[in-house]
Amino acid sequence: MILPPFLLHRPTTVDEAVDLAALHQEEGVSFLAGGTDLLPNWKNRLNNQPHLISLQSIPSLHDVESGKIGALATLHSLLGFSPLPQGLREAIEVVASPLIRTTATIGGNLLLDTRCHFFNQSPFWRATVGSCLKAEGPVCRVVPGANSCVATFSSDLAPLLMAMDATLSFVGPQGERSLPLRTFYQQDGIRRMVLKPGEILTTISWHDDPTLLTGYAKLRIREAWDFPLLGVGCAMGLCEGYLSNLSLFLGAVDSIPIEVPTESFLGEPLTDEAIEVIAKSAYARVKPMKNVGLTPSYRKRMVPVFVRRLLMRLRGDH
Amino acid sequence: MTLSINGAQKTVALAPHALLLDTLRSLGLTGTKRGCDMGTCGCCAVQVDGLPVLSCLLLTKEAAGKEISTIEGLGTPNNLAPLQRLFWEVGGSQCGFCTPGFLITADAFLRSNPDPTDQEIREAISGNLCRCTGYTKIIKAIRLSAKERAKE
Repeated sequence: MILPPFLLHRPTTVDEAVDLAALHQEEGVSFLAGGTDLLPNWKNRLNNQPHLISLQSIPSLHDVESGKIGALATLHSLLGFSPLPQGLREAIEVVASPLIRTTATIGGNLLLDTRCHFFNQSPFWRATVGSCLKAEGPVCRVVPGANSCVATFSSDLAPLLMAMDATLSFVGPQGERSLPLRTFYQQDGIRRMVLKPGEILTTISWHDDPTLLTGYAKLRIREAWDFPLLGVGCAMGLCEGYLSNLSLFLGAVDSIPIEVPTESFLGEPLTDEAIEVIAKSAYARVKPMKNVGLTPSYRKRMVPVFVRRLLMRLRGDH
Repeated sequence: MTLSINGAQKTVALAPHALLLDTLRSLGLTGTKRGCDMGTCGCCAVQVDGLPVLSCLLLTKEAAGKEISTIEGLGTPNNLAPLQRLFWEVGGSQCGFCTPGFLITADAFLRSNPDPTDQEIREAISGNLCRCTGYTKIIKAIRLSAKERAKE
């Protein structure tokens, strides 16, 4: 499919990129990171803008240090970085395919557009069914009568980085700001996050704690390329068998990652019974939509299975 | 603008939104194939600074100043690269449409992992689709190529 025409800007500093975005804001601007999500969408005439500001030539955005990663670091480059939290490694290794990961970036994955059977289609396909709320509107094909979009949250890294309580840093027209990743996404498949116009995600950081156990488990049909149909990210602190920290986030079962409450288990040992209670509570919290692969009921039934397996693995079973 | 392709400098006139795949094919380098054009099939893989990337999802201007290697740079019909010869000998190529992408991916992979297990080979080529061979012979060719390289 042919890309629609646009003007490409290639700034070499973040400030220059912010200025360019402000200059062209009225006409419409998008930022380009790796492009592996944005360009297929633009080919499908989704979210197109007349101006594209590539961030690839900004050296500072590629910086990688322990616990602080530039938004433009490619997933492939991160796999070669040490020390990388085990869970983040697991999540990166299951993103798309090795060919995608050489250009896809960590920032791009966190800003990945939500996905839906009725949205991620060619213009011809969409026209035959009369479009969707997130594309040309006006009607949602998944939940008839819905006012807000229910497209599925499809980032693999976000649930894990939310479990690790990562922080995002931005630079925008109003200057710099930081935000916990846990407060970044919002329950609307169209306006997916609290990113302000013209704002650039610059770094992703977290408190580097080598004792923290992290892991990611992903449900998909093919063992390559597929977006998650369920993703479970977990960060766990175990002190002599007792839980000092436990965070659990579920991706791809809603328009945002869903947190599973675990506070009541802190200070307790992670017994089989505790895992069962957490798995059941995770099951009760999700209502997958019929808008990506596999049936909603199957994806829901897989939630406790994947939660149980991941917790047991992080606990040190087998 | 000037691009460095297979070690030679090429001057091209471009639209701002030109993709590397289109640029390469317009230069007559049609060994790089347009498959799905959406990043799924791997037919358009080329190496940029030694890493396999999808040229259907890379703006040409982003490849400026970098070393681009295409299938034409790997070997020629009269002088096949060892990996190409092995694909041919063991039947790793049938209709051939996906083959350039597999060769580009496998060539970069063997450089980073000279002694891979079959599982590692499978993962390395998991971004390339082939609808003819069933992959078995492709994996065999890559495994044999690793063994040949180890002997040298």
